[in-house]
Amino acid sequence: MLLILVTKESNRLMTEKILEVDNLTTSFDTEEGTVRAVNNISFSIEEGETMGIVGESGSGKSVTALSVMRLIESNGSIENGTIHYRGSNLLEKTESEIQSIRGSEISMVFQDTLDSLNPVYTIGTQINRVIRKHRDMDNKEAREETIRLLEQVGIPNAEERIDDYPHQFSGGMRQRALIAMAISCNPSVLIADEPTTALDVTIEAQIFEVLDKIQHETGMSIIVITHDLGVVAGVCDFVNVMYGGEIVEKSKTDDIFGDPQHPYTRGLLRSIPRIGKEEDRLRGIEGNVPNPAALPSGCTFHPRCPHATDECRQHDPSLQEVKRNHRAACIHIDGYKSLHKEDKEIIINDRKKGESDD
Amino acid sequence: MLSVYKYIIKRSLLAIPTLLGVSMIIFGMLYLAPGGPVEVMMSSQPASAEQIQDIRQQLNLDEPIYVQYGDWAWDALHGELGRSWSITQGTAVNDLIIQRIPLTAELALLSMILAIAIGIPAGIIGAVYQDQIADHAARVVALSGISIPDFWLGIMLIVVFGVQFQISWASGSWIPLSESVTGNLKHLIFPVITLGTAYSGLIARMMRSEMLDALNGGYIRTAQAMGISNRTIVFRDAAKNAFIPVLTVIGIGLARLMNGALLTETVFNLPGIGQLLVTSIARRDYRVIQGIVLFVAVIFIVSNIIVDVLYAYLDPRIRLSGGD
Repeated sequence: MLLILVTKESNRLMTEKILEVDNLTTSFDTEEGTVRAVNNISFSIEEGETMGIVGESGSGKSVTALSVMRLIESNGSIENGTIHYRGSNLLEKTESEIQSIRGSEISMVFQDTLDSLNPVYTIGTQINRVIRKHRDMDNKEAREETIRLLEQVGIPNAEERIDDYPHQFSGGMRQRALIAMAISCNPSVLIADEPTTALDVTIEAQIFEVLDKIQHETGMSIIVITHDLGVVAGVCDFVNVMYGGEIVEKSKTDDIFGDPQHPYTRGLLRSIPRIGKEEDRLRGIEGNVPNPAALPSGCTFHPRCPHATDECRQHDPSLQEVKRNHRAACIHIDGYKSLHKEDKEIIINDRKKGESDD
Repeated sequence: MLSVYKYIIKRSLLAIPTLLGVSMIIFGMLYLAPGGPVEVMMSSQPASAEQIQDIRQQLNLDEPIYVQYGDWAWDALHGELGRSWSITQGTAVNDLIIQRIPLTAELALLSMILAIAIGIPAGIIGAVYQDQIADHAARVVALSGISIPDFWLGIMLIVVFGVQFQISWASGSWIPLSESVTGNLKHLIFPVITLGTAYSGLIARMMRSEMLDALNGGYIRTAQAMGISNRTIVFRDAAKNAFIPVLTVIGIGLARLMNGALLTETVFNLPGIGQLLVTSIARRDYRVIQGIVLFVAVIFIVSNIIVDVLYAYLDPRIRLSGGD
């Protein structure tokens, strides 16, 4: 019994932190002054895990992803922090070193916009060159590999469609092609930035099915960036909730949905409409995402928070452990039970109702 | 690629009404000229009413305008643009134009090659180093190219190199390619610089703005995330997309140059189509003017078709269809 426990524990230790981001701060020079789009955030991901970064637009989640890829636009810079991939700091790599990591070790899938693939080259050409850049293959081998990849992501008639141009593909097919390109060199980490936002729900499910299948086959880690809590619930092992450039809550997916701590997370959860529940209108969070150029003092969420006190206006709370593997940045967490009892009841009732509806 | 042929045929058929309209307008000039073309032609020398009447009869000017037009158009349809009325009297307009084509075509091609050679790299540099010193330098060069009138630049080149430095080929007469290749090219250096810089500015500005657009494209970000090198991204991904609209400017520019650069040919005394047009206008040689303008119209239509076909070749989103 003891032996089993020990082996289990050592196994746990064996699993490598494949990507570790510590105290990352990314800022941009804009006309309104220096803007901190990402402010002192940390997270890490292990092999084979799926992590979610969830937040409204403007919360800094895409900038986080682009920082990891070192693809921040020229008016922006990573001010502080480290990004360790397999133990070495990506921020210390030269441009050519980082180019050999991008696409082959850490890869990224963007939301399919009409121009996320180059309109003047065929799908095959575009995937082919990524393969030849990172893998030791000649043109013919790379073409066969491209066909295999297109089949893997579920494109029918891949042998013919490889010579199509992007405009001949539907949105869902283009997204699949983008995934095929991103996984073409067996990356260890795949960052998917709103990979299904442009697609309808059926296609969304198919896309995540494809990603899930590939993850099982290759053991890659996936970071899903989304504003959609439904996506998080469906695919992520654990979640980081971002607001105003900071991570305000992080935990396992089940805990976020079952026992949300931060008022913002709770607001997000309550804003999900439930099928079968009669509601006159959608419940959202009052107010707007703060302008990153003029973040509120103290806790960035306080202007929208129903529980804000004077303390919130002065102190910027850091993440604190609520329980094992669950942290949130709210000074009211200790007194959570008494202060937010009402809220909690609403959520629990909502969930019960949702379950009984199912 | 059958559709390409279909497309060309369709476009050519559509060109017929255009050409018909153009030919009517240019023929109408003859009718509108005060006192009639013969009076204008003979205004420099005293001529009796009888002499004028003689010439009018010779040139069929007594017929009603629609009959004259019909005759001329019928001949033009058969590739026969009539005969010159003036000092080069009797020479077929076809021959006059054909004689001038080699020089004008050579000048147009070389100027456009120079313009592309300067304009495309300048545009790319401007976009890649946006708002940096290289961009500003490229912008100053481009704007100077656009702003400086070509006849002025031509005259300045002659004054500086021909007059000051006594370079014989900086001005003076042109030598046909068949006589001496180097002599011919030497004489074209300054005309080509004059015309090339003007178009290079235009191409550079256009290329720069198209490159900036292209570099903001989502596919650039995708390529970057796949570890593709910046050089490849600029030259293969962005430049190909940016070049497509620039092709229109090049095509139309080449067509315009093919119609003869009036001022440059005059300044450098080059016997091209432009110079022929200028002298024909001075001599009221309507047949030649009509012939040249019709030639111009045909060149424009043909070059537009070529540009469209190239467009479809470069941009797969544009599909040529012969039908609908």
